[in-house]
Amino acid sequence: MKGVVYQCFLASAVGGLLSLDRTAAFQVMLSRPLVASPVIGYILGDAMTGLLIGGVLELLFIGELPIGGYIPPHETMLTVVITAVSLIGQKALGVIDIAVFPNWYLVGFGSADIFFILGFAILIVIPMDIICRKADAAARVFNVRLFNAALAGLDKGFIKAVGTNNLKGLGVFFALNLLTIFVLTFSGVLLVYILLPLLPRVVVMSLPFAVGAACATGLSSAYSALYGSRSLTVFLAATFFAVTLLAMVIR
Amino acid sequence: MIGRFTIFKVFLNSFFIQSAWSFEKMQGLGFASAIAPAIKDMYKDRDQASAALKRHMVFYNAHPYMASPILGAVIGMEEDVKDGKLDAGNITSFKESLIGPYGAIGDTFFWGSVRPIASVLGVLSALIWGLWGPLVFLVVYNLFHIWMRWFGLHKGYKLGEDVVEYIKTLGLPEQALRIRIIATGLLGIMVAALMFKLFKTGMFGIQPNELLSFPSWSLGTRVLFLITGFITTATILLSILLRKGTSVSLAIYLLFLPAFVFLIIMNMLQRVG
Repeated sequence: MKGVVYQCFLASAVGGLLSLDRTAAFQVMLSRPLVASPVIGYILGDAMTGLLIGGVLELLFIGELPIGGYIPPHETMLTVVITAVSLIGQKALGVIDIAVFPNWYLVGFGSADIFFILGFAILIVIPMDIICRKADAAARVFNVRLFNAALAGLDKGFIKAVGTNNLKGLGVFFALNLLTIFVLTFSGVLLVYILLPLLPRVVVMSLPFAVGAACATGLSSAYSALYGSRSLTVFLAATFFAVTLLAMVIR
Repeated sequence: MIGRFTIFKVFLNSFFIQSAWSFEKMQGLGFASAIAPAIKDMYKDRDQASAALKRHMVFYNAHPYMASPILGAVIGMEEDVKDGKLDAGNITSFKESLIGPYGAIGDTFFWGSVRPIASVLGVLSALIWGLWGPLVFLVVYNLFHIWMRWFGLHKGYKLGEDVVEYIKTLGLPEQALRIRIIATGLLGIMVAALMFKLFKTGMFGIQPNELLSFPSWSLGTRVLFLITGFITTATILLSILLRKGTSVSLAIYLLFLPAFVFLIIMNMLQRVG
């Protein structure tokens, strides 16, 4: 149990730092699922599974734009929680000996078990987005105090008050992100550990389909985000040209 | 004239323009914080510097990267205000006039075009080169990002209010359209690469060597084209739902549900059998 709590905290701390890149600092896209998930995977001992999860979630959240005051789904928190729940849950639970497809594991991204736990993690974590958004919104409500504090400092002639209060905003975002990710990850791992073994066999067998559903939705989400007048022609032409070329060239 | 190092400090501070983003003032504090090194360099008197900084402690919101040309131009304008060549009110109206247009241009170009193409390239690279994929994504994206932050700030400082004309000449909305078309093509290539990755594992019950007989339309080739056709059709149909406002979360559940029901029915039939 100690190990699980430590791993949850480790993932939350790194996830909290990566989340800062989302809006609060840099915005060099370290917070995107394609980067965040392999990083979390690496610190939890399986970067390749992290990459698989990151690739799917990257496409899934490709079209969500933080325009104006709109807060889109918190893809970084969701990515960190899904990756951490899957990897920590897999270690905590051990081997699941149900075969959905006899050669499912041949996909080559990791062991077969991860698809059951990843499917379960996707289904339970995605609705948690509402909590992530509330935490993000809470930080943005709190930050107006920093603005007022900076203004009060300027009235007294403290020019540094502007910079220091601005950077305090990073602390607010980090603290809330860390706390939220930790609570959600720990709850998720507990659900995997307690609930998953109790589920009927047929339900467990269906879980990898949730991964497939996320992949299919990811492709559609990416296509939808790029949709324009010539999208259909370009998409179909590129797909079938590439498939034909690959079939001819790759040996 | 402010020093080069001061400009560099403003450049670094621009990365924190949204650190204290609030619903009420949005990037107001961040903008003031970013420009603070230049103001401090201009006014040696603390009260004058405070008064100048207070001008920027107001509501402000634009695309975070597009704030750089505005920052540069505003620094130049602040110098004019100090020299008595310009009224301070002009700075406020200049900033306010660009909030909407630069927000829209930045959202369309960076969020709507550069990020999707970098993401698709990143995922495609991850399918081919594994962990190099995220690095490809970061490099492609940040080429555009850092360019706008760095050159935007310098051009803004050099050109002042005329930076608006300079940004217009870049034709970012038109470039955004082109990038999106290229990204759609790359998405198609990514689907093809994904199909191949899955085929090579033997996941669909077809061995990789069965594909080698192309173009003789062997069973493997036919299955490959059939499944690719199915995936592309499903992608296009599902995207209609997403464009109509269905959330990705709901779409996952909607896709998962039939598979779940199918397995339950199969299980029941097996028991009855």
